[in-house]
Amino acid sequence: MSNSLQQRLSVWLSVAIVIIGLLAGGVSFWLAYNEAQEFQDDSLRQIATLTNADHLPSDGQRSVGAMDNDPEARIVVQRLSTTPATARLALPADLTAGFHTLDVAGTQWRVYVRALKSGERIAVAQATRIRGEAARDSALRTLLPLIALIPLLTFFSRRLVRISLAPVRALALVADAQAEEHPAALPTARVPDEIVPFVHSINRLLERINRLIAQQRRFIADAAHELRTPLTALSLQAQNLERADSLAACKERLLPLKTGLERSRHLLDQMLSLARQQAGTDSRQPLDLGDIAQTVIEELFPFAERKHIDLGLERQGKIRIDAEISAIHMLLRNALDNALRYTPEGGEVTLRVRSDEGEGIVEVIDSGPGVPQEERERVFDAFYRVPGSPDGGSGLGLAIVRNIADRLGGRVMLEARTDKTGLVFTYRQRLSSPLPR
Amino acid sequence: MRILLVEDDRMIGEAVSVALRDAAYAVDWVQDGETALRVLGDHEHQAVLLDLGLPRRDGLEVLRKLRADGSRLPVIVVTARDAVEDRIKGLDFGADDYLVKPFNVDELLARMRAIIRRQGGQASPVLTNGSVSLDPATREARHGDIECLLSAREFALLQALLLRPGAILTRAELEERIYGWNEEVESNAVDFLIHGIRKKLGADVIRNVRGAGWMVARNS
Repeated sequence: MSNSLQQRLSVWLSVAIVIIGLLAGGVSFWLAYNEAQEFQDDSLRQIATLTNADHLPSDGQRSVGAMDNDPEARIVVQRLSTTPATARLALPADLTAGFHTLDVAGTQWRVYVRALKSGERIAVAQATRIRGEAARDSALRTLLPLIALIPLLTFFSRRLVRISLAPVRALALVADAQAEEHPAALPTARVPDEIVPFVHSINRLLERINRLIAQQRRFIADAAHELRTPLTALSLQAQNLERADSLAACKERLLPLKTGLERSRHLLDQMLSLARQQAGTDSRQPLDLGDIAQTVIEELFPFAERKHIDLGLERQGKIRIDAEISAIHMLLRNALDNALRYTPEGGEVTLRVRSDEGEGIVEVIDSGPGVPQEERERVFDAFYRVPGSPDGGSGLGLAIVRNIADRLGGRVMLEARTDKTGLVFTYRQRLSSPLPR
Repeated sequence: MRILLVEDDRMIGEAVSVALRDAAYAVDWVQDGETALRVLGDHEHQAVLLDLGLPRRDGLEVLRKLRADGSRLPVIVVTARDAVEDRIKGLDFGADDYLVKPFNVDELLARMRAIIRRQGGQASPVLTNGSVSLDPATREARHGDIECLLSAREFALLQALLLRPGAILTRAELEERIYGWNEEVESNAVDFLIHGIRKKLGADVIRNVRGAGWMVARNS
């Protein structure tokens, strides 16, 4: 069966109408038929009542109501005592008073037997075929309007469905006419009540998509803008190098060019990992936060050593969460990289892994300048940097962190250190449910 | 010619400074709008290269404040915003020209020369007082039949004098136009440069007014 609501409704309504029509027809046919039969029985009874033995001819029989020469079309009245051989109908002599349906010489008869006062009994008989035909004819006439009703109802139900669904078709046209770069909400006016919740759902979806599109668009604009900065530096540095008039000057001018290249590479790396995180394939597995923290520390230790930063790890037991290794690694690495970047030389950075109230917690505690309260939310936006912060950062590190946290169902937070100046970065995620033993 | 460079990005700031010094400009570089406004109050500079995306005070705000204070200092706006509206806004706020990142050093220098020239009320790219002429694009000087190439500092000094023929510039004023803040000024640097220019173009190119300073003759 096709998925068309209209077709389905039409077909099922037609089927239902036909079935109900047939049932109703059958019942009314049966009722009409029976009534006709009873009416004919009444006629037989009346004839019998009116018949007096004296009226009967000597042979004791008479046919009444004959409209044609068909002998069976007649009503036969006869004495029962008449010798069967001479009688019109060979009826058994021992018939009791009342109605009988008998087979006489191959024809079915309906017989009414009545006892007269004289003790004689008369039978009034009529062939059942005639009775049946008459009853059927009148019963069939009651069916006619019903049969005419079926196509009419089918037709109107189709029309009704078509009219009821017209607003839905109009809605589809509106949806088709939307500009894909900014689809607007669909109107709910004139939409059937049953469809309105669906339209609302679609509108909510459209709203989310719009938000996402806007976010992506802003990211692309920001990214293009961000790429200009290192590119400008690179092109200027290259042109400066070109003008250098000695080998020493060449070497001197090559250095910033190399740094510029490194910075561009870092920015591109971060953009790629953000894109990858946003596309994120989800293949989680239980892993130990402490192990990941240790790997990240190993990777960034040389950087910390160059800046004479005392980098340490504090961990207790196994802290298991469900996550993708690459994602959680990226998250911790960016958080630690940030802390090391903004902590001045000779400072201290601690990575602490612990659990509390069913959550695995990683804290990155630094002794840097901290982030002002009003900036703490904004630093998670892509390309946002705290004004006056040292450059070289891509402005994407914490955006990547936030993205991963959202995807893993964790939470990130920045707080001021309470014991001295510095910042505490916190990541919390529900511990994995204990493995069944 | 002393330029104030206002650019928050360290790498771009350094690279532009190098490029401008190569072209014989004295460059001072600040990294935020607040500092830029404070420094501009001292009237030490002959032109400003102003980035728009600045911390603490936006570039456009710096520009508006500068113009509101009645300064006619040539300003080139440098922006990564290439939307037409941004450029129009920059010009409407009183910029003399704009550059869109990433830009070419040669283009930057050409635009610098153009606004400085216009500031001096000249249409021709060549600075002249009638007897001595100087081409800022090539650093070539001509005096009568003599034509020669000047060093960056020699060019800067002669350019400073030629921008205002007939005006006396003191040693301090000349030093200010040739050296940036963090450049070491040797005590007899001005004498040394003037000696070099006179040797190349002839002694009467630059006149010394004893006790006052130096000048080039006014166009006669």
